[in-house]
Amino acid sequence: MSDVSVHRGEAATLDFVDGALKIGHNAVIRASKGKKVTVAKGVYLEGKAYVDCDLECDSVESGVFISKLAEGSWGSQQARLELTGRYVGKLEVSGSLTVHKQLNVSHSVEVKGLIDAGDIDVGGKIEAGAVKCGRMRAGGRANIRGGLEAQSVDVGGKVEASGPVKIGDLNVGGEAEVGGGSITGSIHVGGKFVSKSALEFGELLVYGRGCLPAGCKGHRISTFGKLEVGGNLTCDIIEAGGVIEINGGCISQKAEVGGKFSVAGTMNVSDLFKGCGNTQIDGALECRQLAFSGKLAAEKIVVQEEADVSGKTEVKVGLKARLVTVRSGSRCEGALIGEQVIIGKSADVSCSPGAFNWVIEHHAALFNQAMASRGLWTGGGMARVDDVYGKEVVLGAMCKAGCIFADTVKLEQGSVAEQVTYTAELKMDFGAAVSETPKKVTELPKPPF
Amino acid sequence: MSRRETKRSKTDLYAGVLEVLIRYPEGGKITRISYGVGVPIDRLRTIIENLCNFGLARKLTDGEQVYYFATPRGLEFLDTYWRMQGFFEIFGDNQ
Repeated sequence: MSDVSVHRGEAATLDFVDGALKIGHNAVIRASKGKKVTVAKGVYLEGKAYVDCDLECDSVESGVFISKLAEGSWGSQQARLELTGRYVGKLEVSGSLTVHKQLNVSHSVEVKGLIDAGDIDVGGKIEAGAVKCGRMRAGGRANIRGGLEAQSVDVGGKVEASGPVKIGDLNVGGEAEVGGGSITGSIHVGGKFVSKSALEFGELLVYGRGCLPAGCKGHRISTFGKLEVGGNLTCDIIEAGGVIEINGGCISQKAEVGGKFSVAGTMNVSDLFKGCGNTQIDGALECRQLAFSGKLAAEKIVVQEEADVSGKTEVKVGLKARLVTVRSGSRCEGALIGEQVIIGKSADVSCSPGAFNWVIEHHAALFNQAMASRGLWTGGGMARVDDVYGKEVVLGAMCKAGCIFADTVKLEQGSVAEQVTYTAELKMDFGAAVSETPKKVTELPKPPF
Repeated sequence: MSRRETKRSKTDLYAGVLEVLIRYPEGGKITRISYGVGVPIDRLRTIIENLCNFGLARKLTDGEQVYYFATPRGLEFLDTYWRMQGFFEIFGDNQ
């Protein structure tokens, strides 16, 4: 077993090295037979190394680098000389690179073909045709023209992988651009994340801007910035702090949106859709439970259980739920359909973010007490809705409604309805009014859907 | 090699250094941090010195080797930095 040293600036033609290979600065390695050099042990770089063929070895290290510090004094004068090597651990391979254990290079690695390594640890930049490894860690950038397969990728600056990826965890400080594939664990990107083709992912956390194409599937999306989706999206949990624009339909288990959320198709949520801010859904919204404060616009809203809305709701066809609650001061355009419909209930503060909930609750309680002591109302009111269809409808104090069709109707103090059609009972508090004479019928008209 | 589109601010450089540091939990050497951030070592020394003075990074000398680490306060800064970048993205201020 013998080690081989290729000195600074030399060119060596090798085939099989039955030991370690030490490559001096600016040395060139070529293959004597075929196009591959095999090294039984490790390769040690003393500077910049060029390998003009494929290389297979046990490990690559670049531990040696020039860094000198000299201090001296001449009489009262003190001098300090510091010298740091510039060409430290740079490897260029024109073929493919196979490293059985660790590829550890201080500066950069540039490989035209495939890098197949146990672990990759590069201080600066890594460029390759394709990469297959266990863990990849780069301080600066990773530029991969083909596919990337790794258990974890950890890059300080930017990752570009044009081909399909198969990654466990992806952690990038700045930007990441992948050509689709799957990232089964978490994606944590500080700046920008772009996927050019359909991607399957575990958790996607983007602080800045995210761009996904149509057909992506994932477990969780959390964004603080802006996320644009080119088409249909399937994601179990969506948490949007900033802006989400989906140019297609969306299927989810749970969605919590703050800020702006827009969907060009239909939105199907199997559990809770909770939000505040501005939500625009061009198609229908279907969910099990809805809690929304802010502006909500949709073609049609179908909720299996409770819909609790406050703010402005614009629905072209109507909103249907088992229990519909419209909070005080709200405006609902479109028909409301439910077994129980309560209009003008005092505001629910549970949607308010942060630790100030108790302050808001406390002040809301004081405000309601003050208004009640003046005989005005006991909480809620001032909501405006269009036509209402239900078994039991309560129109709260000072609220206005279009036509009400229900078995039992209660109009609280100061409320106004254009028309009331009922089958069982109508209760009207002091000051409540109906524009047309209320009608008691045996059968109610059918709701729009 | 293309030039950087916009000049990095001091805050961007601090965040860049901390991003590289958190990738080396066993301690980052100045050379590797330099390559990672893309800043010459002489300028990097000033930046890291400032980060240590602000309590965002920590310096550890082991014989001849000097290692740098990100502190919990540094991680807090990094989190806040990226959150703010998220807001700037919404405001459109980062173009």
